[in-house]
Amino acid sequence: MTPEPRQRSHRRLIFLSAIFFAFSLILVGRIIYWQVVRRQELLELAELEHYQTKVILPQRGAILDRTGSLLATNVFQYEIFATPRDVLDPRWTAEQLAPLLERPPESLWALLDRKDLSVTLAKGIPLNVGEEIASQVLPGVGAIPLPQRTYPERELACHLLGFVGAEGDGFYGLEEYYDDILQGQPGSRGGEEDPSGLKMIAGYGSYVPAQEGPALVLTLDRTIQGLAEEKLEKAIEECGAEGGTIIVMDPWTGAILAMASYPRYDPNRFYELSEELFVNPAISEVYEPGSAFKPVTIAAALDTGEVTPETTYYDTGSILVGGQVIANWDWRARGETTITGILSYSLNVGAATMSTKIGAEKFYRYVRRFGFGEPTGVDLAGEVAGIVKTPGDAEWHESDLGTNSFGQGISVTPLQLINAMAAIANGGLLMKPYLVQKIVRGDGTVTEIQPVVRRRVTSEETAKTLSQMLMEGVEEGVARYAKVEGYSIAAKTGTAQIPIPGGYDPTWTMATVVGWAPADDPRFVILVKIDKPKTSPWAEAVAVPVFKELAEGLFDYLGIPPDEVRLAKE
Amino acid sequence: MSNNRPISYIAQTHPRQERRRFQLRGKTIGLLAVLFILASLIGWFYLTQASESTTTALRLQRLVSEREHLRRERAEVHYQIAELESLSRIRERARLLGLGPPQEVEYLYIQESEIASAPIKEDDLSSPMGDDLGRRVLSFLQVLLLGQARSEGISEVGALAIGSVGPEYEVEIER
Repeated sequence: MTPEPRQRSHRRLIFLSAIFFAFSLILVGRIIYWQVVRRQELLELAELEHYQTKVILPQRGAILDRTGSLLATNVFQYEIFATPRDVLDPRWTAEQLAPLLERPPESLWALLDRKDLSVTLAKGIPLNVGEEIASQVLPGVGAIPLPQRTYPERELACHLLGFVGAEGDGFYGLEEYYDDILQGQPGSRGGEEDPSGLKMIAGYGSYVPAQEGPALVLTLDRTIQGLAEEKLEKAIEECGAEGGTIIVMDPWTGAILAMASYPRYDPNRFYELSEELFVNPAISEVYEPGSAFKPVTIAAALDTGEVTPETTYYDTGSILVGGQVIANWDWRARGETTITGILSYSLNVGAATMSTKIGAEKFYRYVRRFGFGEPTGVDLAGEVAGIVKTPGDAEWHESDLGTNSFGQGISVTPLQLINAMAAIANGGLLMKPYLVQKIVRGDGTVTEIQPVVRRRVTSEETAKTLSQMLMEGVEEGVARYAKVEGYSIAAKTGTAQIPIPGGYDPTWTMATVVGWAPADDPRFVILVKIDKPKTSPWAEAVAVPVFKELAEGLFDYLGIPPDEVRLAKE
Repeated sequence: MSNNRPISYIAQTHPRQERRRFQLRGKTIGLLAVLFILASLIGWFYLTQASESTTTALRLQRLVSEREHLRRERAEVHYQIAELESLSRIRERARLLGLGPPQEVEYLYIQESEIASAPIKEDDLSSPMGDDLGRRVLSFLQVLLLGQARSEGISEVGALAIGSVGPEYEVEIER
């Protein structure tokens, strides 16, 4: 029996509805798949098609000295490039660019006539030239401004500053240590572009400005740094030395006022120079300080209460420690000698007598307390710890207790040595040396870096006594040439041999003097180190005159009156 | 009855319906005119807005470019200043000018108590205008005129009057 026409029609309707419903389901499913499941992916693809984001490079933070003088800043230099396929007339374009780029038109034409996708025509083009090229709107030619780190003072404080490489990363010194801070935050500029790559003005866009890196204000004083570098260079030339270092520090805070090393280099042209020049000898190279280390030994002896300034010992001219004979620098015996005499006449026998008297445990405890064998924590990249062998170390020998007492067999950095002397100068506190005193951000917020006391190394009384003893050394001892008329100065010299495999170099020495002034109320500590001087091996002859000249310059520059005037005022 | 309903209809026109159609056409035209005006307004608003937004976007782009340009110029100027103020350049200029480090520095010590107890001269206490009666009168008038001018907001009067006293007694009036 055949169904009724109406029933047939109804079935067809249901069938069609089912088909439509199925299609609808498929369509809805596909819509959900594309619009929901793969939404993000498609959005990104669509954005990539026509939305371009360009990174805005932030300007690296400037570095200024304590007076606000710029030591490191940025300039913009242009890179000129071309897309040869878009250049309408290569010869005409080359003729337009040639006088601006100061290059023959033929060489530019050869570049523009190539089939390459993009060619670099010139790099390091000054701002005014680059902007003129950009303003000419030459078809197929583009100009990109790129930030370039620059150092207006050139060689001045080069070892402290370091430099910035081609990729924008800091190397050595402050540039490396504060790299993350100085770099700032990059910004971005996004916008819709048409198929030919032209920006759509009315299109959707975004702009996030770059956050410039904060500026670093240093404790360094440009004038003192310049003075130190000038004196050091002059001294090295005069005595035919291989190199040298001068550090000037505020003993009360640990602030570094100057840190000069020779040979210097121009950080603007780092790419032309040898890597050895970049190393800062003040913090990255160790040496045996010689007699300049004796104040540490005497400080330990005084602070433990084993001796007083009036204590005497009998100087026979030599002493046997751990099977090794230790003699005075002049091989002379001085008989009954006071502790002050050890420092005034720089007696090795006296220093060894003191270290053996207090014993290895106490002696090395003080050596460590003064900061030897560990980095000072200065805010500079590349600081090393130095080498201090102590009882228990495989390489330590009993004789080291004697030789270490006068700075032999122990390796320190110039910064460690001056920091230890600063602790005596300020009354017994070991400070953390630092160079950055303020971090100034673009929004005006300022972070001030406060001085950090690392620890007390001696009592105030010991430090005062030692200071007095060192002052006497300048009045009538081996450091007498450091004396500046009218001023009290405390200082200690050190002429050290240079260790070589199997012993010590018979020819070369390292000449050091470290001291402070005014002795009773120090305003600065100076360390002068001259490496391998030719004219004389002695610190008194090559390092002390530099110390004296620098101290005179600092008295004038810092306005420190002679003791007579200063003490009368007080 | 419903089963016998014809599938199609034949349209029939009533004479009264023709009049209605005429009335409807009038309304339709009115409605269309309103719609046209609305569409025009919307179009005008859209075009104005689009134009405004394009202009603003262009201006913003120019401002951003100018900002970048000024940023670069500022960096260049800072560098040039720093180079001109560099220590080596100052030293060279000082050398050319015949300047050098101080040969001898002398510090003078003056006790604070000495400064405090220094005798005060009679001249220090007297009026800077002296004791002359004429000058005193002039001074009085000057202050009077100045006060009046200030109260009336006429600074020129004061300036003129004071100016006539002479340069020695000129008083600057803040406007």
